[in-house]
Parts: sequence; C-alpha cells; structure tokens
Amino acid sequence: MIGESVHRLEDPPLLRGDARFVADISFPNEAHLRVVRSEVACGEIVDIDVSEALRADGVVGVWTGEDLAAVPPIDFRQIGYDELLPYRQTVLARGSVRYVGEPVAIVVAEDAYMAEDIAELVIVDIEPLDLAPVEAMVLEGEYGLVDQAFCEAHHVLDLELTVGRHSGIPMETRGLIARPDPETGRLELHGASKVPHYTCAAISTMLNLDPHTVVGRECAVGGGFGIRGELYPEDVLVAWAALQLNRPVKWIEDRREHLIAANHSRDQRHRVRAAVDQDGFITAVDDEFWYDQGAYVRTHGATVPSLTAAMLPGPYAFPAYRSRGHIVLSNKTPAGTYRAPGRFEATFVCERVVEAAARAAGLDPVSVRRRNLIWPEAMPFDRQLSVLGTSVVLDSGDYPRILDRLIDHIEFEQLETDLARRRSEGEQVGLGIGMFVEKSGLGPFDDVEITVRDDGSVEVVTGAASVGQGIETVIAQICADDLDMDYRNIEVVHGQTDRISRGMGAFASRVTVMTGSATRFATDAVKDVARDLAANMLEASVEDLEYRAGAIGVRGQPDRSLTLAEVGSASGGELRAKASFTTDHMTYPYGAHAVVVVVDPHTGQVEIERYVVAYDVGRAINPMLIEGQIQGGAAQGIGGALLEDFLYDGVGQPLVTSFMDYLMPTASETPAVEVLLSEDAPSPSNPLGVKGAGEGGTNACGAALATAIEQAIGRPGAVTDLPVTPSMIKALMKAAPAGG
Amino acid sequence: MATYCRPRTVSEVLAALANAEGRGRILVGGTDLLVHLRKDPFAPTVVVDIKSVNDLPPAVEIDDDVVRFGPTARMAEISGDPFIAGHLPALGASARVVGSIAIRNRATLVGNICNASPAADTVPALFVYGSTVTLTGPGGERTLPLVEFFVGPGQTRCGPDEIVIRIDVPIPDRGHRSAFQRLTRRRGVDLATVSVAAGVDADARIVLGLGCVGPTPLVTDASPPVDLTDPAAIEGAVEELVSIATPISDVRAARDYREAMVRVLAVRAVQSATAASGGVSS
Ligand SMILES: Cc1cc2nc3c(=O)[nH]c(=O)nc-3n(C[C@H](O)[C@H](O)[C@H](O)COP(=O)(O)OP(=O)(O)OC[C@H]3O[C@@H](n4cnc5c(N)ncnc54)[C@H](O)[C@@H]3O)c2cc1C
Repeated sequence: MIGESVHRLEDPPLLRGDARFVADISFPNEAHLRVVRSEVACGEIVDIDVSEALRADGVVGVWTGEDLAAVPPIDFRQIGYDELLPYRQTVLARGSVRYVGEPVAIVVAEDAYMAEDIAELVIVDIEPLDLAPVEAMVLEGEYGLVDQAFCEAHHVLDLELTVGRHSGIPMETRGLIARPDPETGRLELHGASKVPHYTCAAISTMLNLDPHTVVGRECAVGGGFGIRGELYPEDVLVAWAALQLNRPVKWIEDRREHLIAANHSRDQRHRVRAAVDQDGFITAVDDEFWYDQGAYVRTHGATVPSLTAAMLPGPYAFPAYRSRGHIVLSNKTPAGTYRAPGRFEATFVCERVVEAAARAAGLDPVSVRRRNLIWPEAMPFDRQLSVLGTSVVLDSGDYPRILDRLIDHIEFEQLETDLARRRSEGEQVGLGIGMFVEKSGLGPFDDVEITVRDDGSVEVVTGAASVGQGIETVIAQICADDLDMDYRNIEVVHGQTDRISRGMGAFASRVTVMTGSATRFATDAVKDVARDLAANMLEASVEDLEYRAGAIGVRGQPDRSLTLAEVGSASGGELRAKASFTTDHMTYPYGAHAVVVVVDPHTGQVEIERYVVAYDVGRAINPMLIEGQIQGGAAQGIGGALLEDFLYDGVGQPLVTSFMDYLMPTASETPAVEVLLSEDAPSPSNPLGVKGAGEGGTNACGAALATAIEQAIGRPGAVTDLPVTPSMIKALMKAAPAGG
Repeated sequence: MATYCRPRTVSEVLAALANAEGRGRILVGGTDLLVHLRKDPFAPTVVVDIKSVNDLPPAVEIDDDVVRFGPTARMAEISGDPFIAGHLPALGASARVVGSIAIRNRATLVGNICNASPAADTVPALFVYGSTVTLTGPGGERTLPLVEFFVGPGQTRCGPDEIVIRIDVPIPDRGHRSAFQRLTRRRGVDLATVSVAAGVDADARIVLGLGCVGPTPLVTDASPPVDLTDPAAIEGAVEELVSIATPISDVRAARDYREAMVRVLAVRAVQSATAASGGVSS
C-alpha cells in the first residue's frame, strides 16, 4: 500500500460537485458580513460616519474600531519577538490606517448583496500621511570565522539581489461562518482551515470565551499554500458579530479583497558577499537582507525572515556564514508564509552566489556545486543555526547523488552541446540548475485516534487539516498498510476540533510526517488492544496470537480467528486506540531543479522548453500525489520568477488588484514537469522514514530560471531581480556583456 | 445603484438614455460594463440592455464593398467567419485573441470600441481598413471615421444620449494584405502589452494601427511604397511610421520596452501580411 499511486479518496465528491466549500454552506437566519476597508495607505482616521449605512434597508449592524476596543490585537502563532509586539494588527483599525485594504468597519446585513451596497454608504474620512516605513528589528545568525575567511579569500563576491512581492492565490478565497448553536451554547466556526485548533483557541482567548465552546468545522478547501487559513482580522470579526447578534454570520471574501488583504509574501532585498578560494570552494557567505513585512506583523511573527536566514546555505557546507535580516514595516498588505516561505528567496540568493563563484574561479557551475555540497558521510549535519524553536540538523541526505540523478536524467553533457550548437545558430537558449534543501515535518506533536467500527471499517481521527494535499488518502494508505486492509474502508477525519482535543493542522509540509507517524503508532496500538481482548475470547495466550488482514488469529490455526470488529463488539463496544508522535526536530528533504528556456531575441519573452525536478522525500507514500505537489508547486514558483508581482505606486496604492494585472501562469505557461522522485535518504527521525513533499516544486524555480535566462541571452550574472520580465530581459540584452 | 431596463426598439433605447440625464449606459456583452460598474466614478444610474431590441441592424452584414457590424456582433462570430478571415484577416485575427472563449461568446465589436481602451484589440485592425462608425441619437444619425471616434482612455465622441448603431468596414481592394500581431505577458487570457495591425495596399504602401502605445489606439499615415522584399526597407518604413507612438509605463511593461516592441510587432505584422496568402483579397 505504501508507495502505491492509488487514487485519491478526496476526489469523488470534488469531481461530482458534491464537495461543500464554505460558500456552499448556509444556515437559517444567517446574516452577511462585509468589511469596509481603507482606501488610503497611511493616515489618521478623522471620522467614520455610519449614519447613512445604519438607515439602509436590510442593515443588521455597523461597527467600527471603537466598538471593538476590548478585542486585543491578533497574536503570533509562530516566532514572536518582543520587538514585533507593537506591530500586531487589531481586528479593526483604531485611530490610524497603515495599508490599503485594512479593515476599518464592518457591515452586517440580511444578504451579501445588501451588505456590499451598505458598506459603500459608510463614509470613512482619513487624513493621509506620508508613507512611514520602519525597521522593527534585525535577526542575526552566524557560525564560523566569517571575517577571517574574507581576509583569506581568493575572490570576494558582492551581489545585490531582490525577490518581488507575490503570494498564494487559492482558487477559493477566504471565508467563514460563525454560528452560535442555541442547543449546545457553542460557537461553531465553519470554514476554519489550516490550523483549526489554533484558530478556535485564539478566538476564544481574544473574545473571552470558554475554549471548549468554540468548535472548528473544516469544509472542503480550495487551496491553502500557507496563506489561506491563518487567523486573520476577518475571522475574529465574523465570530464577534455572530456573538453580538446571536445569529449565524457569514463572510465570503471577494477576489479584490483577497489580493489586498490576505497575506502577501517574499519581497526581500539581499546584499550578499561571499569568500571563494581558487578552487571555487566557498569559504564564507555574509548576507544582509531587508524583508518587507508590510503594514503589520501577523500570526507568523518573524517566521519568513528566520527561515531565509536559517535555510540560505541550502545543501552547501559553507564553513562560515553570517546573516543579518532586517524586518521592515511598510504600508503594503501584511505578509506571511507562502509555499517554500523564505526559501524561494534564500535559494535564489544562494544559487546566484554559487554561479558567481564558479565564474570567479573559472570553473563550471556543476563541479563547483559538487565541491561545495555537504557529503553524505557528514550526515546528520548540524547547521549551527536554529529556526522555529528547533536547531537545524540536516537529518539525512545524499546531495551529490541527487545532483548526479539530475545530471544523468537530462544527459547534461549532450544537452550542453546541443544548446551550444543552437546558440551558435542564433537561438537564445539556456540551461539553469538550482539545488535546494527543504524543511518539513515541524512538530512538536500530532495525535491520532483509531476506531474500528462494527462493520469493519476504520475511522482515523486526526488533528491535522486538509489544504487539498490528499491527507485522507495518504493517512488511509499508512493505516491500510499496517492493518493490511483496503484503504477505501478507512475514513480519515480532520479539521473537526470537537473530535480530538488537540491538533496542529496543516503547514510546513508536516502532515505526512507528523500525522502519518502518529497513525503508524496508533495502528500498532489498535493491534495490541485487539490482541489483549481476543486472548480471552479465543482462549489463547497473547503470544500465540497473530494479526492477519483485519483479524486476530491463533498462530498455526487458520480457522480460529476474530475480526477486529468482532473483537470490538464482543468486548461491548468498538475497538479504539490512540497514539501520539512527538519530535523536536524537523526533517529535511532536498532536491534540484533544471530548466531549459528559449528567450525571444526581439521581445525578451521566455518560453520554458523543459522543466525537471529531482526530489528526495525519504519515502514516497503515494508518488502520484507527490508528483502533483511538485507540478503545482513549480507552477507557482515559475509564476513568482517570471510573472507575479504586487506592485505599488509612490503613495502606497496597490496597482495589482485583479486577475487582469496579477499574472499567474496559465496552463499555456506551465510546462509538464518531469519529476524524479528518489528515496535515497529516509529520515531517521520518524518511523516511516518520510519527509514532507509540499514545497520542493516551488523552492528553486527562481534560482534555476535566473541562470537559464542569463545563459540564453549570453549575460552571465545579469539576472539579479525576480520576477524577470521581458522588459528587464530586453534591457539586460542591450547592456554590454558583463566581463568574464 | 443602477436600475436595469430592456427596451424593445431603438427609439425606446434613446428615450431611456434621455431620461437618464447623462447617466445611462448601454449593456451588451457586459464584459467591460459589469466589471467596472461599481468602481466607475461616473457609475450609471440606468443600464440599458439592448439585446432584446428588435430593430437593430443585423450582427454581420456583408455587402459588395463593405462589411457592416451591428451592436450585437460578437467576437466569436467575427473570428469564426470565413469571409472575414479571407478579406479582413487582421480583424478576424484580432477578434480571435480577445479574452477567452467564454468572453468571446459575449464580447461585442461595438462594445470593444465604445469601451475605448487604448488596448482594445480590434481597433488597430478596424483602423487599417478605414472603418467608419455610425451613431444614432435624438438628432438623427451621424457617421464619422473611426479614427475620430476616440478622445482618450475610456472616452469617445458617442454622446450620453447616443447609441453606436453600426461599424462599416470597407472591403479592401484586390491586392490589399493585412495582419495583426499582439504581444502579451502570457498566452492565457491577458491584455496586450502592445498590439499592431498592418495593412499593405497593392502599391506596397503600409498603414499601421497601434494599440497600447498612446491614450487611444493610433493609426499612422500611409507610408510611401516600400520594397517588401527588403527587410531593411520594411524596418525603415516602420521606423518612420511608429514615431507617433507615445507609450507609458505600467504594470505590464516599461515605456522604452513598449517603444521597442511596437517596432518589432510592426515589422512582424507587415511580414506576416505579405507572407500570408490567406491575406490576399480577391
Ligand atoms: C476576462 C476578460 C478578458 C478580456 N480580454 C480582452 C482582450 O483580450 N482584448 C480586448 O480588447 N478586450 C478584452 N476584454 C474587454 C471586453 O471583453 C471587450 O472590450 C468587449 O469587446 C466589450 O464588449 P461587450 O459587449 O462585453 O461590452 P459591454 O461591457 O456591454 O459594453 C462596453 C462599453 O461600451 C458601451 N457600449 C456597448 N455597446 C454600445 C453601443 N451600441 N453604443 C454605445 N455604447 C455602447 C457600454 O455602455 C460600455 O461602456 C476582456 C474582458 C474580460 C472581462
């Protein structure tokens, strides 16, 4: 079962149109919420006039920041620092606004159309101020003798690099229904996703509720990518309004709101220096970077820049490394994590350095990579850096081997020869390679409860969440593998906070590692419980019993056995067991991208001819799902590298507020990615040997494409900014070729 | 908030517009109007849907020397019409790239010109054929060359109480060739970064229609006869013609990129017009 590309359990309802997304759900007597948002990027609120709105037909209520003065700002879920506390966001603006899109008031009405119309009657008077960027703090990390390495260096590299502002754009926008249940006195949150337990706990704290009375009900989810499902101001506003009105309140975000109010990501500027010896060995990297956090620090605290700092060295040994990351607050939409957060940027920077080192040393970049990689003998490798409360210890990996796998697959030498020939014939064609290390399986725990029902089917209750990644299928496969049964007879429950007392949700490519490992332990526990109970019933000693395909039997006696369901009902109930998996460390998958591009010499447009991703995930539970993750992840990485950019004008107005201008790659721009999955380095830190697989498709897209494009146009080292647009490429082509 | 009406005759349309006191807007495909309905500072108070008007001219009418497009002619019909593909190939090609299949099934040619976007894809092609536009209003009918119709981004000479009733596209003489080129950031649904239609007459004189390089779509004068077998001659002629372009920088491209691309596309359009036998008018 494990390792088989079985069909997804999630798909039949999705394909039949039976899946229920939050917008599909409604309750009798529900009211609809609309957020009134700031149209000004930075200013003092002079007055909010709600009188006309309150007189409108269908209005249920209108509230402003003053009405919610008792509600505290949204706290950090991850990596909070005291320096960042002043920049937390209140659920409605108080006194001033800091970005276009900031909630300043809410309107609740009898239907969504009325709510939208009435919201336009709220008159918000804001006195604009000049944009006011501030630096909140500097993150520092260092190991080795950096300054000494620079003194002794043969070559010193000095690069300025930027990555633009883009983000995850799930097909389903955000949404929530808060429903006070008159019978139970509980507040149900339909549509809570990604981290439902956290969301319920945080909302109960913020609104002074008994934590047991707030229940998360995950629905079908149309994508997550790290941004959807975090706790946002709107979630708290919906819950608050429902309690205020004592009726269900529904909020469904529209696309413009999504583009200006849901988390953005990336947006980093790096100044990186590197010390290189005469053999192309990089002896030190000294990186200083500025991360544009946007207007407020949200649930992720300093997660993104911390990950950039901790993961930048990637698969390379760099004996000395220093990172200084400036967290800058601006007047843009707040930023958070998005697929491969901090790493898409870090890998771009790291691989730009490696390419530059190869040029400086006059060597080919592939051999320079080999020279700098951490060797398998050095595993586990302590990075001497820490992030997310754990020290970065690369648990396992054979980095040279994955490079070899990629090189072999693309027939590197032949390919280089072919490309050189095509270039000599006038075509602008280039190859780029990017290596990366990912992180996955963030702890600290996950619980799983297994019940064998009367009919022999199995229920697995988890504290995880679905973001569309296939959790039901993968967990069922792990369970079916252990219990030796049909995975279609296993129902996996997730995102229902009243079914399990704690849960971590779905982020950081953690579910297969954490929930999967807990499932493995729970199936062992079920078998143990069943064996103990069956011993009496079968009048045999426990040692003489064995597990066979859904039943406990007496060894050597094929006809003496009881199914798990029979054991359960004979013992007066259903068979149940519970287990946890805990860990202090993450596990680190790794891989390499290769891309061939053709650049139109006249227009500077980039056509991707071939895209390959080699990825080692330790152990692939369902290769088809991993390939899907990589294909989709690569589409997003390509978008960020070539197309997507949240631009602002000089007064902080967002220029990109619809799909007319936010250019995601379509099927026409997205190549079919060739995926090379490998299992060279199972993780020693969990019982399945698995590593997460959600983010490797995105991670090195910027790095690989930058190299490919500059090779194509014959300007090595020229690409310093992402996204690389045709305008930029034409400008680079016009500039004189860089020396060397 | 706007009210909606669905008149049956052109005179009812004109009455509805007159009653709206300058705040009435015509709705056909709605692919522009509805998108901007709420955000438009001049948001209409009355939306006049003309799809049930029974005395409008036919969607597409082919005469001896002219093709007439009524207000309901949709991109899907225009791009699929073999006569248009043969005789007005630049127009057929430009209609074919508007939006997506779903958009082309609703979007009208007349809506495209009335919306007056500098990026309106069909306008450069309509220009090179010397099209005219006919409006009906309280004072009766008037016809003007399409080049005079555009005033600025989103602004035309169609008065608030008028309706565009027809676009007439003269069928070019035998030997006239034409083609359309569009540059977009991606091949999926996207608006043009630059677009160019080229018309080359029997005497090898070139006329270019240009999109996205000015406040309105632009049209050049005719060049002197050009030796079409000589790429340098084409480039030289194009260089002269496109000097009217005054592009701006926006999220899609920088100004100097547009300036460079209008040349690239113009050369491509001329070459593709003269290479394509399908572009030869009979
Ligand atoms: C997703 C999407 C993609 C698009 N892609 C493209 C593209 O690639 N290229 C492109 O050029 N356009 C594109 N458009 C814009 C739009 O589809 C076209 O401009 C279309 O031709 C408009 O036609 P319509 O019938 O939908 O116009 P409507 O929206 O109904 O009307 C447009 C405007 O013209 C006015 N109007 C319409 N008919 C008349 C009339 N008879 N008399 C007076 N005024 C009139 C209306 O009042 C309104 O102001 C796109 C739009 C969308 C939503």
